[in-house]
Amino acid sequence: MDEPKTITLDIRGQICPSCLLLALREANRNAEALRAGACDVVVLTDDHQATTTIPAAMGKMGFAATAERIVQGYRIHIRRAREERG
Amino acid sequence: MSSQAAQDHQDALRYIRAKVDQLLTLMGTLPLRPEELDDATLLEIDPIGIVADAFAQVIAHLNDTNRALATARDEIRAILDAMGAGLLVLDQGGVIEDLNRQACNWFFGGVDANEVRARPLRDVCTCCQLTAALPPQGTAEREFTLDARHFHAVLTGIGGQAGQPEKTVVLVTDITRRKAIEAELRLYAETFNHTAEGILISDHENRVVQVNEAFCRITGYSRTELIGRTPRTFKSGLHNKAFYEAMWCSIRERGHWQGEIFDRVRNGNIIPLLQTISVVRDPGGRITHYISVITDITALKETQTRLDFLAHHDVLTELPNRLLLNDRLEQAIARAQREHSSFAVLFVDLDRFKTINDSLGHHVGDRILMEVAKRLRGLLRRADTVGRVGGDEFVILAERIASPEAAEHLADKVVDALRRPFHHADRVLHIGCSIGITVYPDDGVDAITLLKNADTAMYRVKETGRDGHFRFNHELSAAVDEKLTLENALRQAVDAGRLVLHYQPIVDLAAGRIVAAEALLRWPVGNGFVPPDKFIPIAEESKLIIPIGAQVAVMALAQLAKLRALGLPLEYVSINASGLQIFTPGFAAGLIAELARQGLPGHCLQVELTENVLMRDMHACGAVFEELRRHGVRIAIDDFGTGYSSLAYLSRLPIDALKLDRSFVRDIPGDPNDCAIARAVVGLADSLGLEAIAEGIETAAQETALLNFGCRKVQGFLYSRPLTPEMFTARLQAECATGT
Repeated sequence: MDEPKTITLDIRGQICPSCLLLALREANRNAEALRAGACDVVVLTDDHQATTTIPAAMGKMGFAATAERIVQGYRIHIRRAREERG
Repeated sequence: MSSQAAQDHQDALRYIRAKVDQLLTLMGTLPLRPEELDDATLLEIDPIGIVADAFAQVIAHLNDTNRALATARDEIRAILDAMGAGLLVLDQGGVIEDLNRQACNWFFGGVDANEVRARPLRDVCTCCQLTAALPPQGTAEREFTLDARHFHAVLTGIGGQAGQPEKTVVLVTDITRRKAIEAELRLYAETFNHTAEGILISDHENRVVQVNEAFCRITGYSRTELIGRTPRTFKSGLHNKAFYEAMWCSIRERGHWQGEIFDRVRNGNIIPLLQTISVVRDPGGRITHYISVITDITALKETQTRLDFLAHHDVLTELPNRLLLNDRLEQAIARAQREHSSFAVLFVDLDRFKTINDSLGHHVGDRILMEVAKRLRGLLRRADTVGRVGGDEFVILAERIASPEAAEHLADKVVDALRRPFHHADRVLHIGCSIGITVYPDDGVDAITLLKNADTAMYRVKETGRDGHFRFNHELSAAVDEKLTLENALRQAVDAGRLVLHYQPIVDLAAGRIVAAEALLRWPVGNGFVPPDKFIPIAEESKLIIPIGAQVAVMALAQLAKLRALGLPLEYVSINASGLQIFTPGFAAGLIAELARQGLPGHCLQVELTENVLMRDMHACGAVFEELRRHGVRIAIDDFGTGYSSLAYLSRLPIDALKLDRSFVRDIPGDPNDCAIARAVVGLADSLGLEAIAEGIETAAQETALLNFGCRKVQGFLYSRPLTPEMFTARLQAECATGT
């Protein structure tokens, strides 16, 4: 299978709940591709709270989201849930 | 914008913020704060649209999840129904929440699960062993039996507070087969441990992995000593390489071997075993084990040896029997032929043994025989053989004798040895023996002839006074042959009824007439007769005397009946009886029956016996005499004074007459000794109230003397020779006619 396309959403400077809304909008826009595993969405944020709210919301929507610390904030990687991958 | 419109705008924005906050809270995040999101941005990014879209995705995801869960539930249901175990889920109150198909079948008679679901287990399941285990403390296990099946249940409490589970999961497996296998294994184990045969199981390298108790008992090793060893431990060294090669060849090619083997046991002894070795193979055909079954056949071997001994030996004396003796005799002949040597056969017959056996009983007789065997063994060299070939008959095989005299010397020693008294329970018994001797090759070159001729020679000793030995010679053989010829002829004469009776009158001197007659047996041959002293002993020996005696009684009584029918006054007819006849059961009854058949009273018959017959068994004689006496039959003692006299019997037995032997009559009145004896016998008879009858009167002087002694009844040539029936009848008729 081809490597999924990565869509990066840089919302550094934003704080929750804007972060969440922007992340949700991006997930909504790419819902089909995400579900199909054709793309991943990477959110770059410097709001610590977003590392909790975004993965929680994404989980309810059926996606897997993992957050990791990067030099200038956090990198939240949203992708199709593992069990849904072929 | 009017203030009202502005107010409405603000209200709308508040409404939007409130709804967005509500949606965000549902999404799990914080409410919007005006300082973080101004109204313009709020309207620009359309949070309600975003969250609504996000919700659509949440719902879609939930739907996906529910479908997956439903599928998973169906999968689990199928798995639970398909599995061999029974499964029950009970709630806190013991109500069935769920169960699988196997549980329905086992515990609820195969009903649909819905019929028992939501019902208390106690109400629908009769298996108290299962319900009694509820609720479990943690995890509980139970085994129970239902409808002849064995079950194992694991009850697990899940959820809830400690000690009070919310639910109980009951997993039941059918262990019927396992139980059956366990029982079978126990049985095999019992069999293995208690079977009388020793069993050893070794692995593919022939290392012992298991032995049973019997194996340990037979070999003396303990189980722990044997485990890990190989069966070479028991190698006795008595079998060669070829034996073991053949054994392993059989095991490899046929899968088993059976045979007798000698093994060395723990104490160093070597014992005979009957052994079976079988191989056990896995499904791939590879040997996994060897099973060896052993039976200790020591006792069997001993029995075989003993039986072999008994087949060739006399049980009582443990001397070789006739079978083994013949074998030794054949070997001796073969050896003597090779070496041109000679050997002797001594046929030893005990004298008077029968008397001891009959009078003192078999147990005494047996002790005597054992002592005889011991004495005989003591006289012989190692190479010689003594065997017992009959009741009181022994045969000695003396090999490599230097001369016939050496055999006679040995016979002397045997006679001396058996002449010595035998002691038994305070009694001193004398037996003695008669020995016939044959020497190879002079007296026979085969076993049968040597034995037969020795037997002949032994009989010669018996005839000539016993207690000695005699060497066979061919004249003896000729005499035996003649005797045999005579016996055959006599048998034919008896069968053909050719024997006849002659009658010698018995005269009453006082009355001056014939009062009775003695019937005397005659065997006519050609123009003459075979002398009675020649054929009577043969008749005795061959037991022909029994049918002859019966014929005599029939003829004599028929003759008397005939005479009486003619009106001739004969008081009785006297017949002679031998010991053999007297001691034959039915002798008296036969005579009595014959008297009845002829219509004659008992006193018409007199039976004459010699003293020797009486002495043989006075008790038995007494019983016969009493029976005859009850029927009036007369009894006379023949040849009185010549035999072994015991005057005691005269008073004790029912006797009518004494017949004075002719040997005492011959020389009277000239010989004073004979006169004294004759007078004494007549006097004895008179004083006991018996009749005296004198035999062999040939002269008038003898008659006068006897009359003087008081003897009234006489017989002899002076009055008449024995007469044919016709002549006797004529004589009586003539006497009657003259009135004398």
